[in-house]
Amino acid sequence: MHIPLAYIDPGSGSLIIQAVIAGLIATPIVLRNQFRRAGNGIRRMFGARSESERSKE
Amino acid sequence: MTVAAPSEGAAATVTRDPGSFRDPSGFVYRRNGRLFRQIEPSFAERWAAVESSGILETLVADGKIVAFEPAPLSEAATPSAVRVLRPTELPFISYPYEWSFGQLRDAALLTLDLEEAALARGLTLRDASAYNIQFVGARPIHIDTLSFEPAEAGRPWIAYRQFCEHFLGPLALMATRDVRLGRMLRTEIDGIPLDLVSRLLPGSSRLRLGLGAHVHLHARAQRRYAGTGEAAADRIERTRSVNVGNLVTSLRSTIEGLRWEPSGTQWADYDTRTSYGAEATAAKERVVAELLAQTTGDTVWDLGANTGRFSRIAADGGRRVVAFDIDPGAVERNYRALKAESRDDILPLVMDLADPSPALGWRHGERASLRERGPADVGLALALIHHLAIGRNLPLVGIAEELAGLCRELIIEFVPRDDVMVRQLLATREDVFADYGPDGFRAAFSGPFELVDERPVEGSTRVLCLFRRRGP
Repeated sequence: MHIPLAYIDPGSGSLIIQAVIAGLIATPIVLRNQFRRAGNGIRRMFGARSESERSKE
Repeated sequence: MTVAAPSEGAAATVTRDPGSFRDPSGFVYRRNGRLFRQIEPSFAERWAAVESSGILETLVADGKIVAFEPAPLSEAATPSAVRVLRPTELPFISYPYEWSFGQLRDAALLTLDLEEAALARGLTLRDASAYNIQFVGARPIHIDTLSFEPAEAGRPWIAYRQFCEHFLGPLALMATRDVRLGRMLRTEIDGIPLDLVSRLLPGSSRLRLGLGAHVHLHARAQRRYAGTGEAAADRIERTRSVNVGNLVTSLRSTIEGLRWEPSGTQWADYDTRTSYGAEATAAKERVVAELLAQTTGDTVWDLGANTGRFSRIAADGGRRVVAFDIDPGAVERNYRALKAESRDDILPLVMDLADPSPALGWRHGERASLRERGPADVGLALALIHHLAIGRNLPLVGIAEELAGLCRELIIEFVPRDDVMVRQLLATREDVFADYGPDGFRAAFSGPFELVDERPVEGSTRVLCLFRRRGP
């Protein structure tokens, strides 16, 4: 029921490759997020507030 | 297509938008001149989900999608309608092949903004057509209210291919090869096929993560699965692991990594090296303002606007301006300046007046020609005529007739033969332009127009004329 709902031709290759590409690019995105988290952790260790804590105020 | 409306009998005239037929979920039409969108039963359930998500109010308030009001079913075009909407009408419809690099890039980023906003509410964009984006001045806005639908987690993005073909491919070609490749959007109405983009991009683009994945690998996958039918359908049916949010993040950083600076195009520096001195420029601005004050109507088309110096004079006088120029560099500069000024009264577009945008697509109806989108109330043709008559070998009579098709009143600058810019045009070619002179100019333009006012420009040999079209 998923494909018939699309009125444009999504292209079978274009749909299948997304799982591959999303995996491929997920690596840099996950790494970047972990660097940010690590950075926040280090800042907290030295008494500074993390970015997310600041944005909550 | 004009048909009789279902109710109110003979009184109503309904005309379906000739470009609104691909999506069976609904369509756009005019009823007694007013713009409406009707929703068909097949989309009713999805529309209810989208509406209750609250996304539309938020995006309308942010100016990211076009505003609309509910309209009664009695305004429907056909009895099948389940809902009728009345969208706010935009002052001018433009197309991706008329945008500068920055405009197409901002349209792409807006599309990704919308997909992100959709994903955050469990929705998704069901199409990512560049034709769904319009510009109000320098501000991009999405116009297809039926583009959102509920998403199912882990499913691939239906509009991924369209996004890459309408936005990423053309932008990559413009940024890495040549900005003039944006004109390919005029011959490829469904976007530039990715196998073609992949062949045309520099080999080094394969090493860039974003272009390597979203163009080259993507194009290979399209080739690999072309015509595999059932087997591919099975595999797609089983796919539940796509993180579309990551995909959109990656598309965004790929698009943001594509840049182009307007230097070295033919006209990009023209504004800083015109034939006018500062004094003559001030005199010309004064005369143009005075002639504009004698004209009427809201819309001004500045033909050959360069970076929009005179467009601003018209807009400051309360007019809504479309600023056309042949040079993508000049249009880009104008767009960036307008964006910085947050102006919504001047729309800059790339247009070659010797080859203006034609009617395109199915039955010549999907994309309107430039002339069909006019006429403007007032046309400005400043420092333009010599480029058309001598630079492009266009006969003066033809130029006069064409301009009369584009505007009702015309402020035009005649640039005589002894002008340095004309001498430059004639320096390396035979002068086959015997008619090109003040008499030939007046004779040609007095056909479709009558002369209302004529002023010399102090400090130059040029003259500015105000013409009014004969007849309606």
